Amino acid sequence: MNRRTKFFVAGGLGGVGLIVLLVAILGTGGVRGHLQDNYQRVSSNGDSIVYTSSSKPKAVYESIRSAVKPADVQVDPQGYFMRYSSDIVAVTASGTGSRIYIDDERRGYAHWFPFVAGYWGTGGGYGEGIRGGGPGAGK
Amino acid sequence: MRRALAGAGIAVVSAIVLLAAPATATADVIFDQADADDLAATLDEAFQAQGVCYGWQINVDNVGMNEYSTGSNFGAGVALSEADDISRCDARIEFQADIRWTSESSEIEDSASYRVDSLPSGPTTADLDSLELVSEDGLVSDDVDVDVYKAVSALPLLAADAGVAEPMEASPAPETAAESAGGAPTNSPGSDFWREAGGAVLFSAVLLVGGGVFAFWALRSPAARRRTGPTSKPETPAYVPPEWSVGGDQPTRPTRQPGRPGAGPPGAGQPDGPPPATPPGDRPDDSPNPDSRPET
Repeated sequence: MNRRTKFFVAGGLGGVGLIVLLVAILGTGGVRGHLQDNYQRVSSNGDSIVYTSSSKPKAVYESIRSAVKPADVQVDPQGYFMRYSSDIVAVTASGTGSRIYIDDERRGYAHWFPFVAGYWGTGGGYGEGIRGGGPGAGK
Repeated sequence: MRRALAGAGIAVVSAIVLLAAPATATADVIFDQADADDLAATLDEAFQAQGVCYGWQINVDNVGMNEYSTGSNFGAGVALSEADDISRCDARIEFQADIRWTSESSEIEDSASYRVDSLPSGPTTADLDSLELVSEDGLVSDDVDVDVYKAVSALPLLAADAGVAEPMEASPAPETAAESAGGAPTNSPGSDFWREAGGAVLFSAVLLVGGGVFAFWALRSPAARRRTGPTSKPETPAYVPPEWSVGGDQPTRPTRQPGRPGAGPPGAGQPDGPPPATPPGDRPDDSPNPDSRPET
């Protein structure tokens, strides 16, 4: 490999690396940006915003989850709850469509306390998450 | 006496049959009782609101011992197939799984399968898979209880999405409820950016480092020399040595060509005139060489 080829390979690797880095940085707008771009805003109160969608909750949940991967998901017969680094998103039914709630972590935990208490934080009265786990005989 | 012997024989045979049959445990193999009760209560809320019955049936082959976890909106430990009030159900939807745990010394890996059973119709296993809440790998992991709990809890959501039941709506609770219970979020979930783009950033870093290595390698390399390939024109050297020949056992030495131009180094050429006298026979190269004689 001569010197010119080495410079060519170095430039190619560096160029592709920069492109991937820029796409990674600019392509992650966060869950708030995704909701703002894709759903109709109904109301807001500080960091707490409510959106609506004509799609069913399952479709909305799958769309949000695929766009911005949550750290954890809890489900209940009444809705889907997604936890992000500083936000909590809830998707629940509203007529034939859906209603999407986004709050900061503290307020979201309080709003959806009956569904997430014991899983994402403290607070008694609704269990402390799953306690079982089988006999431990498996591999 | 004969009756006593017959009774003893029956007892022995019964004992052998019991020993040969696989053992069956009665305790819930997946959940603690409190968790199973919580899950059954959640399903009962959905049943009251939707009129659809929900349940779970997990069969576990625990190193040869058959164990199970079952429950429904009728209670923990009550399978839908065993419920007395099944006629009240507009539809029945059950999460079913078969899990095989093998011993540590076995070469056979743990395995699992699951499905959603809906009667008469309703959500399918594919519907559950699309939520990405449960997996076969998860069912053989230490978090099998979490996976099963989430999968069963999602059944009413899937039923509403499939049109089998009315959807259940939720409203935000007043913040005072969590405050009075001392509730607060814990265990930070980590950065969204790194979760979302961490792989791409790592990949780009590898590419950039690779590019840097190649650039460093190129800078350390000597400049490329001009290539002289087989198609280039051969250069004529300034000095062409005289022809060489080999004669018998004599050492190789240049053939004397006194009249040939350029024979000999420039400036050190032979003096003009006849070559120095040499006795015949002392110059084997002077003798005619039949091999070098041109053919006529």
